[in-house]
Amino acid sequence: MQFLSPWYLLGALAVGVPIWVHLVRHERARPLPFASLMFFRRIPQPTVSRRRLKYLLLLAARCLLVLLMALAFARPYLSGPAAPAGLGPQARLFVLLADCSLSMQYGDRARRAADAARQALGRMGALDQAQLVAFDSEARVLNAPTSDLGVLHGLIDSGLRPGALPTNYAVALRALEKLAQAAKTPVSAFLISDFQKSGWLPGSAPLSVTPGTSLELMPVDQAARPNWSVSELAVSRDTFQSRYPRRLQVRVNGFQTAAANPTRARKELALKINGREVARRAVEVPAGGAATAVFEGFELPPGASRGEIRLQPGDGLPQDDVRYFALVRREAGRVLYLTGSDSGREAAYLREALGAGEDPMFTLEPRPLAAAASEPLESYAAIVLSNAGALPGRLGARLKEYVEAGGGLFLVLGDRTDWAALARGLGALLPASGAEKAYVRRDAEQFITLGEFRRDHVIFQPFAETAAGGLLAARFFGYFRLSGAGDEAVLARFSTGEPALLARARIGRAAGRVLLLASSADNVWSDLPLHAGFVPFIWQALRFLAAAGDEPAAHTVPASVALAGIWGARATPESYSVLDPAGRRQQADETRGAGAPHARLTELGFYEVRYSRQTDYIAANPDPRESDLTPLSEEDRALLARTAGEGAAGAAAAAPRELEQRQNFWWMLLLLAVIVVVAESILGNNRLRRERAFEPQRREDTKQHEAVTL
Amino acid sequence: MIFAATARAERFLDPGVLARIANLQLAARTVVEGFIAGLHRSPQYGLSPEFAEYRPYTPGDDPRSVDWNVFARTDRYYIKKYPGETNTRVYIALDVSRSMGYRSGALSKLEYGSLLAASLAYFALRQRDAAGLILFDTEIREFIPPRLRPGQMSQVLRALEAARPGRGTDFCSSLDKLAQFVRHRSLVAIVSDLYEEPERLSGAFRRVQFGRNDLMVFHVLDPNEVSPDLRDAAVLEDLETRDRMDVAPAYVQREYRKLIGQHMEQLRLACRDSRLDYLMMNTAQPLDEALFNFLSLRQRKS
Repeated sequence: MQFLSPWYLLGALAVGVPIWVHLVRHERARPLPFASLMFFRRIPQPTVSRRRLKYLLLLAARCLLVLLMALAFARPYLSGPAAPAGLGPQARLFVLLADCSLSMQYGDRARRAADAARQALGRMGALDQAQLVAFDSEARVLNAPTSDLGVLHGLIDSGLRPGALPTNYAVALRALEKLAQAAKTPVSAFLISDFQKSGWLPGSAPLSVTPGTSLELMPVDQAARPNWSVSELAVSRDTFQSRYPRRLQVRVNGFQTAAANPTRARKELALKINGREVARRAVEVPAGGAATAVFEGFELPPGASRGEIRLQPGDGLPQDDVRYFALVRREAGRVLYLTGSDSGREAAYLREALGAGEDPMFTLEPRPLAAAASEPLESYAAIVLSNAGALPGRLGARLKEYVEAGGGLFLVLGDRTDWAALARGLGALLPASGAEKAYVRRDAEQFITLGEFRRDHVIFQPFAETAAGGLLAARFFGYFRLSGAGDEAVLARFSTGEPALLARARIGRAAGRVLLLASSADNVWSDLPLHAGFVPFIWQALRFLAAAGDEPAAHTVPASVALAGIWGARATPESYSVLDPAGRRQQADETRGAGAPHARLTELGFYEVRYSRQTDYIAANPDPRESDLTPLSEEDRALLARTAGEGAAGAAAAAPRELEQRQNFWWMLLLLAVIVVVAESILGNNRLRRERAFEPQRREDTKQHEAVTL
Repeated sequence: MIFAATARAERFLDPGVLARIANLQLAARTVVEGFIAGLHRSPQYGLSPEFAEYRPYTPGDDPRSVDWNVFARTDRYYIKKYPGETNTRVYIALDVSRSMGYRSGALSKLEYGSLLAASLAYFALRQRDAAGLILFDTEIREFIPPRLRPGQMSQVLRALEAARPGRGTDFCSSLDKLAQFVRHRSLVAIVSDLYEEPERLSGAFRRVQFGRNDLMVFHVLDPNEVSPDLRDAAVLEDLETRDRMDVAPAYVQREYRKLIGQHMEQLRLACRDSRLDYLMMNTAQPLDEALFNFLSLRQRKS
């Protein structure tokens, strides 16, 4: 037997107190007065030894009481295999944390994990219950605590299949902590995993185990397995040419491949577009290193296409041997350029800007103002109205209809701009209510520049900190002082603080847009076209006006992708659907859960988005971290084991407490003590009753003694 | 019949209750008042101014009762006797030894005996008998000659109230001395716990009886002396000798009770043989019941 608080056993020494009291009382035992011993003397009886302890039962009861109290406070328990079940609750909660990340699909790890889970369940006692938790980058509790092994085994078969998501041990431990806190019984946790090093994210909180919870590590594979993967793909989603104009760069990594190929491994990369192989490249991947390959010049059909690059031959983890990407071949957007100026310089600057790059997104179509009156506008991606005076005919109204139908209008002010006429023609489309022509004094500062702009706006996204100089260097000599614009409409200001670029969006039902540049782009009022920032500025401005999407070619699971990137910034289509790579339709609440429509990517492959009689694709790829199957180092595993051991030690330290709480001997001892107290009281009262018969004579003797003494 | 009617008609207080009455006179009166008949049939009540006869003077007689005319004529002392003085002299001898101080209840034997003695004195005086008191333990501690005069009862009661358990007991010596005081044809009531051998007690009683004295023995014991409640080994201490003895309950239960029963029986037989009236009383017994029993006995004898 062991004791939870052995120091209380010292209280057992107090058993000497009743013994001493009985002896002392015996020595000082008051004789019972009796009238005459005349008749007692005639009775032959054995002499009672004065040394004999009287009232043995009473003494024994008092000694036993002291011993029982000391034992109860010492909290005894039995440990070891022979430890009894005890009288308290003995059930434990088994929590199986099963790694279901992508790396668990390597080889037979999944099968081993299932076997380990069954092995853990095999340790359950009759009263134990179990919960299964599947985790990767998220933790999913598969069941409520149950002791039904049939259910548990069924969950192992169906619920512990590895998926496509990366590993994050922190989520598993947080889930364990929550379950342990909610459980009313001790918890035995089993972490079943390949203990991939990359699963421990940098900056994660130190591994900790709730005190009283035991954690056992069950590795399914402790060897460093070789693995190659297509880890990076540099590709732009949108193209406006039939032949992909850019270089498609692919990076192939080899992890722990030295054992398989001490020098380098020869691999091949196959490029498929819509399932048809269009190109193949050979790469030699050095051991533990990386290699790159480039694909270019492949043909694309119009519309959305599905691309993939697959590494051959495959290896133990084929899921990371392929990289998916989505391409969309579109027609270059037509931009209608309307100007009131006779000079063609601004158009030239714009044309050059739009034609820059290998895959121009827009083409510029200059038209005279008068001709635009009858031009159908709805086919244009954007319209630039530059340095215009009065708008002829119904142009103003038609521009308004165009914007309200979802079009984008770029207003560029110049020396010929008639603000009043513009205001009459465009009315509420204008982001400003007033404008006054202003010229920078040549005898003073001579020019102004752009002072600040909204770096978070899509127009200025390309202008990183270092690239901002290209835009800020532009000089403005003339401009319009705009007034009546709210701060939210101002995208850029001059160095004087006056608005330089204003924007309005969500105009009309189709979310049309308007941009207003307070100066010209014709190298007259400013030299903006001469600066490097002009090209990306014009590109982004037109993309903004055209509500072009900014969807990347591929995503890494898990991801939540806003579908606005698919259909652009236009209004959400009335109906749309999202199909996962297996062809299952995502539910509406999944796609609209975040407010704006989105698709949740958890599988590898292509998600198909159908809307407005169009089909587009979203590519989902595995997290590159999962490709590195390197397990935790010995030091890390030792640290993990020690932490688990601390938890186990805590559990071990808690085990005696748990054993004691289950066995609950202390209350049995206290109950016995209560019974002894009652018995002692009865015995004590019996003795008092006997002495009471002689008490009156005793009192009389005392009074007489006192009288004599006085 | 009168006594029977009285006994049926009234019940006196339990001695334990009477003990709470501080005034012993009141207590005695309370006990006795219910009875009509006295110790003996005395046709005379109250003082009578008529002269009845002379009797020789004895030491202790009131000098005021001496007939000086007779002395002048005869040079001898004679006491005038009146009709009221022709009744009996009652000597009440109360054992005040230490053992009489024993108690297990509300009353000690001495208190109970005092109450009994006071009741007898009151009864006697009420019957126009001269009552006197003798307190003794190893020797005579107090002697009040029996008289019939105002103040006699108060004197007796004062002596009883002042009585405290004394030392040991020398019963025979005390009774021998008592016999010297007792006039002939007197009534002697002995109240004691009689812790003495029956043979010695019988001899002492006979010596008191000499002179045709009428002897009544009231054997007063505490209930715990008759049936001690001892269930465990105990150390008992003799109140008089201060001797201590370890006693085992088993022996007490059987042997002691047999012995004290034998003792009481021997005393009863010895008193019967000596034609003495013997009454066993325990302090838990109501005093009126004891007196009723006694008077019934006396009535049958007369």
